[in-house]
Amino acid sequence: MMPTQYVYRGVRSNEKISANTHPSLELASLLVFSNTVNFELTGIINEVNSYQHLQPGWDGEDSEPIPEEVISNTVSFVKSLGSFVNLIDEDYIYPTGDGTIVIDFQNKEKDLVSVEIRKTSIGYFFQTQGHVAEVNSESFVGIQYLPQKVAGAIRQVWERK
Amino acid sequence: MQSDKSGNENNTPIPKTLEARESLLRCIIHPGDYNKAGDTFRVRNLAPRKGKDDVSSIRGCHCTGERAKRHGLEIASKRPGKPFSKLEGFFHFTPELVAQAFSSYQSFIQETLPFSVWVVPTPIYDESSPYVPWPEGVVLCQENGYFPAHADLKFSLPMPNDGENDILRDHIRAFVKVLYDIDPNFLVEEFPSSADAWSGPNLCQQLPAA
Repeated sequence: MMPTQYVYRGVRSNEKISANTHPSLELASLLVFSNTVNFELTGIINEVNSYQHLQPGWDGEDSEPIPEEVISNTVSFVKSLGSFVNLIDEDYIYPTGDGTIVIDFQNKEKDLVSVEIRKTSIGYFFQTQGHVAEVNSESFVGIQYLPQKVAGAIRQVWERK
Repeated sequence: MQSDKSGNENNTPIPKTLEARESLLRCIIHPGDYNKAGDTFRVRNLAPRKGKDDVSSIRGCHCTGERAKRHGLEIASKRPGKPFSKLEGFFHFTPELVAQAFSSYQSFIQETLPFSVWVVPTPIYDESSPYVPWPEGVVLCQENGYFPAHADLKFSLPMPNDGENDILRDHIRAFVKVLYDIDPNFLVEEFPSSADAWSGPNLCQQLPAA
């Protein structure tokens, strides 16, 4: 008997992965439904703060801990989001081996603003209708943790959610 | 000659050049490399680390499934911050898709990009000193540290450090997303396990002729 070929092509075709698509993803499929209820601001902040415990090498060779400044910048960024915070799902926030934190703002239309928060700057790209529409990077200045352009891109995702 | 479920045979010399539609595999480790819904690969998996200009991949047509899986299991075992990490499968792409994604990305941005990207064979001869010249006589799936079926997604510039060239960093991240989206192809096992045997689909995908 030929082995079943699990070739997942969900991103472009918008196919939904189903519980019987692959056994190891069954739980993941169920979790996504429970995670559609966005967790609260406190939960997000707790999640971000938990990254400060990551040790060198936590994500394989060369991976770095998350610096305090990045944790602090991310908390400030999240606090400045206002109602946009409801676009954040626990699944869409994660640390990277480069010592940064990524937050993805995504809607059901697959529009995406992927924000990377660093020590001194915030970078993002905005993808809508299958195309990258905007790529930009801005330094954190003073207490402005949500630059206008970033807010504008997130607003577009929000309005099409 | 021996073969396993990958469809690849042992002891076959590996070409020193890449075919445009040759299968390349990037290990996908759980958790972290894709979201729980399974519908979004996380950009960090295919973006080079800070200061690096390459991302490792496996030449799927020149490596047995067992050897490719063992490579993935080794990578998963090197993530101490994720005690439950495991190999989830492989993201499949080709040199041709890399070129298409770059071209597509350039057309989106409508400006000259500050980097270029391609794929290059980088056989590992000795894991303590990788990327030495191609060793004579080394054939498919040798043990003792040899990994001749290794290739790199190579960027013309290293991933910048924080604050050095942030816009380049953002361009590379966005490009990787385009590469994921251009033909998302995730190969996973029928019966996932920590055993060496690969029970998933053929890692050497038969792509239609151009």
